[in-house]
Amino acid sequence: MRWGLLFILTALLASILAGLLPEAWAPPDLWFLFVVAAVPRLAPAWSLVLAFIIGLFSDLTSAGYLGLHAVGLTFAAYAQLVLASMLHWDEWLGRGAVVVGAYLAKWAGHLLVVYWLGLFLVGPLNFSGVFLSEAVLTLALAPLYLAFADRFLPGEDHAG
Amino acid sequence: MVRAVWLGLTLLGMVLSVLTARTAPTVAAELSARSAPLFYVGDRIGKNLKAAAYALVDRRRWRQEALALERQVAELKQENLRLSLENQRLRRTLKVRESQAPGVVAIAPIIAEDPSGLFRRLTLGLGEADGLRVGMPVTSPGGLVGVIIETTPKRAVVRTVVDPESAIGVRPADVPGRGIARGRPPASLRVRFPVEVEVKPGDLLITGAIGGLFPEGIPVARVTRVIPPGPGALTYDVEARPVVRFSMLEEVIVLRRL
Repeated sequence: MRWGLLFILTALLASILAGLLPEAWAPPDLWFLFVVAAVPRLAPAWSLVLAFIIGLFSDLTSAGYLGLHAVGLTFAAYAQLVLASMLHWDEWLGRGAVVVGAYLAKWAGHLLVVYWLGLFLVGPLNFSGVFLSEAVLTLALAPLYLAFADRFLPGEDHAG
Repeated sequence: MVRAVWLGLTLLGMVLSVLTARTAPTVAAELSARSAPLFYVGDRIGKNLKAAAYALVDRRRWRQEALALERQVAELKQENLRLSLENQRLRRTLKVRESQAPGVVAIAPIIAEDPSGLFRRLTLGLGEADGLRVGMPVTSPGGLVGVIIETTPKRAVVRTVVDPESAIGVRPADVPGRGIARGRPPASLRVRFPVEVEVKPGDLLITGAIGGLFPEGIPVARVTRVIPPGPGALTYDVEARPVVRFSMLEEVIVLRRL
């Protein structure tokens, strides 16, 4: 139930921010934050599946290429799992490093799909303008979103 | 296990991307169109918030622009007034130059009037440094003002035609004959004519003394009353009102000394 509510709230907030921000600014990737909040609370394999599904949903709702976000968020979830096993997720510094690492992994997944598609449909240069503002906004919003998720969602049963 | 799932999902994603690349964005767009209402509310909220923010910013900017425009209008009005006054002044100068004398020395502002009431003298804002000298006629577009009787480097004093010490040679504009106009403060002149000169109330008196201080033909006063001469008198007096309203003067034109 709470997962569903968080999903709806995330969709609502994402659409509000997309409408609110100036056109030159890419909105923050709240689905990435949703996955980051979900990964410690699910079994590792299921967290990857959830990330893939959320990514697929994001691809479908954004009328983009199927797999682009799916692979990106799967990469992010996997990176989070790996990093969380090496760093302290409970400490803010460790959590910050995990989130940043997961975010970079998400972009690595995006670029992998772009490369896989042959670079002729969408190229890395097309994303370069998005990366900076999305990274800044997403990482700036991450502490708030994760703090809210910590209070809103059930406990972290499978934290790294 | 986890790595296998990750690799499997990644592979699935890549296969999906290849398979749907040809149909993309058709497939995704189909769902996007159907899921649009889900995001519509949030998008509208966000856009409305942005519009409200822009409206606030615009309103502030418009207010600033309005204030700037008000300032600009005020400056332009002031400039317009200044140009208008300058235009009037130049017209008056031109009129004086055309009608009264070719030798305009300066246009001088009146910075003070004699406060005593006994004399009718004006202080000009220009002086010797500006070329003003004692004896220079002072006029205005309306008519004769007086003559400079005192100068300092930056100031000059004008004795007006209604000053009690003023004596000007005048003649009626329409009939022959000459007379002497003496000032009678605060605002009239007493003009003495030979009995042969016939003037009546309303006649215009102009400068006209031979070898006098003033160029000929400058309006001085208009006759208001004729005082009948006594038996056997050789002269008679008339009262006249100067054509120049000294209280309304803001600047005067100083002419070259004859």
